[in-house]
Amino acid sequence: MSASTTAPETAPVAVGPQHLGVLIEFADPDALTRAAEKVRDAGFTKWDCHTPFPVHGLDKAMGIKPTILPWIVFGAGATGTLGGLILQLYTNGIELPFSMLQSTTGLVSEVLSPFLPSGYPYVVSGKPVFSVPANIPIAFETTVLLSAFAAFFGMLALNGLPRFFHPVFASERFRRATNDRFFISIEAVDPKYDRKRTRELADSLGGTVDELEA
Amino acid sequence: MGAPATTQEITLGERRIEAYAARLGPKAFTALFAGALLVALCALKPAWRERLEASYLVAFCFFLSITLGALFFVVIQHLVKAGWSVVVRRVAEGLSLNVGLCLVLFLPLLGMTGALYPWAHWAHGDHAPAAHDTPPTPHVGPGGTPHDRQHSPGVEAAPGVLTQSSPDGRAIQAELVHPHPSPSKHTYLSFPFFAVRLGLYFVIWWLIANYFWAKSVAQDAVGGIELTNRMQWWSPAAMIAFAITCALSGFDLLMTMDPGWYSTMFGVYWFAGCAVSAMASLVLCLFALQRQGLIKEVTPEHYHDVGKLMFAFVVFWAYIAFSQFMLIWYGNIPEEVGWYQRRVTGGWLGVSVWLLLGHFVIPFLCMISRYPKRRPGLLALGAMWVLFVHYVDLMWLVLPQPEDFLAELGRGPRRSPVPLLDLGFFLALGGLFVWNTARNLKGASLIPERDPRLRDSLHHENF
Repeated sequence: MSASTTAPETAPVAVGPQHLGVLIEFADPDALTRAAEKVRDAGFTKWDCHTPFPVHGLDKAMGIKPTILPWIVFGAGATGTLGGLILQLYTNGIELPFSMLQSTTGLVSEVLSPFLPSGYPYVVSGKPVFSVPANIPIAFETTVLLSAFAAFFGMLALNGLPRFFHPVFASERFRRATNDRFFISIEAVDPKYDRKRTRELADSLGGTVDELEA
Repeated sequence: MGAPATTQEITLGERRIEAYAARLGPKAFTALFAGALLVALCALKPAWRERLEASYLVAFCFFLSITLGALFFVVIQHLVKAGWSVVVRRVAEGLSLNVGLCLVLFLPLLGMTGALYPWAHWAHGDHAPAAHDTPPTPHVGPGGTPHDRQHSPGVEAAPGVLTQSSPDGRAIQAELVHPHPSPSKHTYLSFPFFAVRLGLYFVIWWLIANYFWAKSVAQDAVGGIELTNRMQWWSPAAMIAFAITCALSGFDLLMTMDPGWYSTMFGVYWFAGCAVSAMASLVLCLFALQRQGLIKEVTPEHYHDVGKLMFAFVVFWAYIAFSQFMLIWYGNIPEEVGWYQRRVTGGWLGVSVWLLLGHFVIPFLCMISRYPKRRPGLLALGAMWVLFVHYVDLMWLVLPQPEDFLAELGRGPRRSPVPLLDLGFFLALGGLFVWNTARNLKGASLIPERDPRLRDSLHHENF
């Protein structure tokens, strides 16, 4: 994103390029980890570390709390198990709601039955129409399916993804985050962000500081 | 973050088990003698003496499964070039070195085959070839009598399947004492071949366990990458040999107790039990050693990973157990369902349901979170539970044998577990096992001190 895309009339306050935050570049993961501890202790919330590979101990240095994703996945998995069993109970285990409607007045049955398709109990291999061992594989698959969906889309949602712009994209140097450099970005939207003081903090971290403007 | 092989991360020669082993020895022998006394007392009661051999097989298989699972763990660490597991690997190597003890414990079983395996009573070599061409003729016992003919062991009877009509009308397979019509089974299930086969498995296991132990300990002295490379080079062959012999030992020791029954899944089922019990034992060993102030290098990160493997193999066990059950239940072929029929009737139905809950549902829900896996005390508690249910699982495999085979032996059906007898064998063999594990670990450091991946392991962290 270049400055030209920011139309002046939509952002009347910004006269020049808009200040989006600071980017600090480090040459090795240890320096990054030490710097991350200082940013964490300064109380920032809208900031992040960017590394070409996972760095041990960085989570702790950044003060990242354990994610609630496992609980979401567990809930989705349990829903999948239950849903899979209910699906099979409904489709093959019982004749509801059709048989129930038949016992009511003919008119209700006539009107509602097209909208409430009935299950179809069908004897397979001489087993009871609803028999749990035969239903486990389906319940297992729906458990896996919903768990996987919850894990994948839950991860995206908790990370705020997909996202089409991030202030770090304003820096050319940031491209090396996928190769051999380690970065900390602090966004200007952070409530603790103060342009002058944050710049002073950034300078004290021992990396190369870049102002992010777009 | 590769580790230079020359980096000295820890002081050498401080992690020794000798002092702890000296304290552990008397306790282990107390357990051994208490267990032996208990077994002797139980054997005074004729009804309990009838299942002495079966209880011994359960206890033997329990400790063999731990040994085999530990062997699997050691080999797979080299196979995948794992770094995290270096500090826990030596203890697993010590457990896997119990193959020698298991061989000694196996010898009494050779004298018990007659009481455990129906095929031991088959007459070999003199069966008429024409008999094999005739299909098994179902023989319905009149009026629900278990069997209406006398069959003396060793005497060739006409090959046939004795089908018993149960009161509720379902046909239960109840042959199996009688020679199986298939000649190939006669060849395979004969005492000499059984003894030779099992002997061969033990030789292979002993070679694998000792090779990885010897090279690992040698590395403590010389360091460097050379020995690691050699262990890695041998690990695929060792793993293949282990996989084949482990599955076959499951078939031979446990599945042939019911020679008419077969499940291709059974070898994997036995392996799942091996792996889960070895992970649980590893947790307990680490926990016990750490309570003595030894191997401080093991952190919650390592417990977490061993706990993950234990959890994974609990789930794997359930997956395999259910796959085996569902196919047989669905196919509903008489010679297959008989095995499960015995386990869902009488008192065994309760044990089956209990196993489903105790071996899967409860550990699954209790250990799915990372919270207990990162707390050694809680994880050790879980490991004890897993070992307990694994023991019950083996009882469930061994004890309910075809009733007409037991009747041939002049014994009644083994109705429910007799805890005292099994407790006796558990204590006796367990005492020996603990003593031998400590003895194995003597003379070597408790962690591979100069393994090139030690640094990775010391600084291991889970994301």
